[in-house]
Amino acid sequence: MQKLKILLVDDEKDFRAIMKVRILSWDSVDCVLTAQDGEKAVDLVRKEDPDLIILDYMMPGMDGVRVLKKIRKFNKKVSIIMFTAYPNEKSIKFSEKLNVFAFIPKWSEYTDVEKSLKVAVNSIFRKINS
Amino acid sequence: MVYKKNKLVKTGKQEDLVRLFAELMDNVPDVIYFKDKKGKIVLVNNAYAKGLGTTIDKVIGKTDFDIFPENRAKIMQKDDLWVIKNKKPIIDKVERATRPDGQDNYVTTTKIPRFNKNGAVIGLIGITRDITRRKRLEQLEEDKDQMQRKIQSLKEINQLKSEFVSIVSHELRTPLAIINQVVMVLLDELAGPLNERQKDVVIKAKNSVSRLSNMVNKLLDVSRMQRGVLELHYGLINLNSLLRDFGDSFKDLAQKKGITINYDFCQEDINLFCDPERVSQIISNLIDNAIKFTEEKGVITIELRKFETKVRVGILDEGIGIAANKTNKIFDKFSQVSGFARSNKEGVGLGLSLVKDLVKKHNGEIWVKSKLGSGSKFYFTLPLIYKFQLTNNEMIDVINNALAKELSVHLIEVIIIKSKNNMPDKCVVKKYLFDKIKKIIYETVTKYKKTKKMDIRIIGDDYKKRTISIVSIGKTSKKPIMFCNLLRDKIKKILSENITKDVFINLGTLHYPDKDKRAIPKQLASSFSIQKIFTGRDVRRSKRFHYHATLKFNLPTKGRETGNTIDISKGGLCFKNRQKFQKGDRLEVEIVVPNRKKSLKLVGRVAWVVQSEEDSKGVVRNYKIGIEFFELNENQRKIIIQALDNIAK
Repeated sequence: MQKLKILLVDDEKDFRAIMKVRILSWDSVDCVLTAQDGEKAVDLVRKEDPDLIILDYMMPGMDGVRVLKKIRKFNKKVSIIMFTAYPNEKSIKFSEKLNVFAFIPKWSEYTDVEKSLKVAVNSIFRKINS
Repeated sequence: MVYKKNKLVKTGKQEDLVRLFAELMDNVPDVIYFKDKKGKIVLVNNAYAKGLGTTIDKVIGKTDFDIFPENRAKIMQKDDLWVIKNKKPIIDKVERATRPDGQDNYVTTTKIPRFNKNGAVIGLIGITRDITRRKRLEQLEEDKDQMQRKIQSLKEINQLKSEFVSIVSHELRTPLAIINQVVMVLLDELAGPLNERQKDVVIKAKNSVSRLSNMVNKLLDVSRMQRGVLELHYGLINLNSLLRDFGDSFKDLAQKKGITINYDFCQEDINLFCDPERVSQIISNLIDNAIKFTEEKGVITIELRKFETKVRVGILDEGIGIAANKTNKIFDKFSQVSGFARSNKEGVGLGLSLVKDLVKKHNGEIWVKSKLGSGSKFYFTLPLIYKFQLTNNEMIDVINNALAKELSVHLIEVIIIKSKNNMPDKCVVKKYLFDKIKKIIYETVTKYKKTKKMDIRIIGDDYKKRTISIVSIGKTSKKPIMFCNLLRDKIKKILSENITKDVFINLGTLHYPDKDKRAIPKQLASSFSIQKIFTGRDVRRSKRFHYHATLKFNLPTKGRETGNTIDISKGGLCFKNRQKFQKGDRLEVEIVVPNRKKSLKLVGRVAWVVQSEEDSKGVVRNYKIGIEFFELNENQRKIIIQALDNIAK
């Protein structure tokens, strides 16, 4: 069973740190790399070739969409999970073009964000190992 | 001087001049007076005398000091003296006088010096005009402007405040999310093992973070509501399941207080178009309150009822209840129960006001029935926009996916009603007819799917409810509307071929989301009816019915046209036509009756013309024309009656 190499992209240092601890606790995960902005993310994707990228839709500088576009230019196969608020037309449109696996709300009173993330990550794990 | 050169003066018609002057002095509402150099009144007009409640002759020779209070007369004298000394007029000086009842009167005063031939001042002319009313209006205008400016600035402040709340709440979310994660990581012992004491402490932090998160979310929602930017995202949900899920999730919390949660649902499953997350919020809030305000033991009932056009959810508790004079304020912002000792005082009192706003946004209603000490019953309704009961889960998923992608979802319901004696719900359509229509619909759907590349599917059909339900998903509403029109025409054709009695077809399309991005579905109802019943003798009574007879007539301009009659009787008929006839026009009419070989030829005269239909540009498209038969012989009369009786079958 090949465990996942995950790249986590978010501009909040503490968020990256704590989510790394959480994600590493899951059985399907091998290691978690982090990047604080789009530039670094693209760089890491090129160097490390992760299985899955988890990134935020809204970031200062290069926002999630642009990062995604850039990555997709040279890497079609990496799975992508995006943090967002409500899905809207824009996100749905490009999710189909740029192949985003899932949209997960970053904060939500009524859905367990962690659970949703875990379910998505596990699905990708199963997909890669099938 | 100019006046003296006036024509009238020259012609020397003194009597005319005097008369005109007299008319002026008698009728003008302004107060006019003539004074001499010493301030004595030489002449006044009617208005002057009337205003003081006296007569003209009583004031002649008097001065202001004889008529007015001293301080006022002094002021008047000052102006008089100025005019006389300076040989210049005072024009439109505004003065204020306070009436005995405290009201202020405003007047304008004009004083003009009078000169003799040598240019010396011999007195003055005064004109005083009451401008109290005008002043009052001006004051009101000013007050209004000031008020509007105040309102505007308050609006701006309110907007700023809402934006501020929104920005701050947003900023609060990220650190809160992080703390939440940290606490969860600790509790799950991912950062090392925890002993019981440590766990206890961390749990306290977790509870506080939950409270903070709740508050921040509420603030954000409230500020979104206030700014008018809160949008509903509709989906199709099973309301029964939703209520049950939430009820169950609160069971633990309720148990701690010895409270049981019961369900009282109507029989059928209800699939509802609403915003699931917001409705969850509403239900959560109400159940939470029900538990909070029940001290211990007791039952909370979650009730669900279905009505014709809406569903009603009830959250009934046996708690402390609400005082009668407070029930209408309970949905206000920041209103809270006072004097009730709660173990942890939560919240800022925004919950119910937000719940009310969310219910209203759905076009529903919310209210409470309560009595102090005997519990509260909170009810809210949500509109049941879509009547067909969707039970197919796959279809529900398809629809929800489409809605999530913000594609247009069109639900087309074909409902066939047969009416007897104008009572639509009393009769059921014959099965063979229903099946025939069903077949046409299935065929059309299949055809359209292929040729027009539409994602259109039949959801189901229900003979008992005489409904066939279709869904079409796409980007715009153009294709579904075309489909609806085509379907309607086809069904119309079947029905007229079958000469059935009084069948109504209601073709309604629900669009979501509509162009304005308001998540309130609009019903595009295109309904029409085909009806064919009348009796020969009762014809005049049943004006609304259409007749299955074709009318041909010769136009006065020597042409021929056909039309459908609307009403036929022994004495005449009426029909619709594009052409506007003139009253009195002579028309030769040929009535073609089904099942009768020979048509009926009659002569009639246009008795009345009425505008019938206008298109969207206001252009008249159809006229309703009434024709009176004349020159009918007995035989023709017999034939008409017979023909009418025949068609009645």
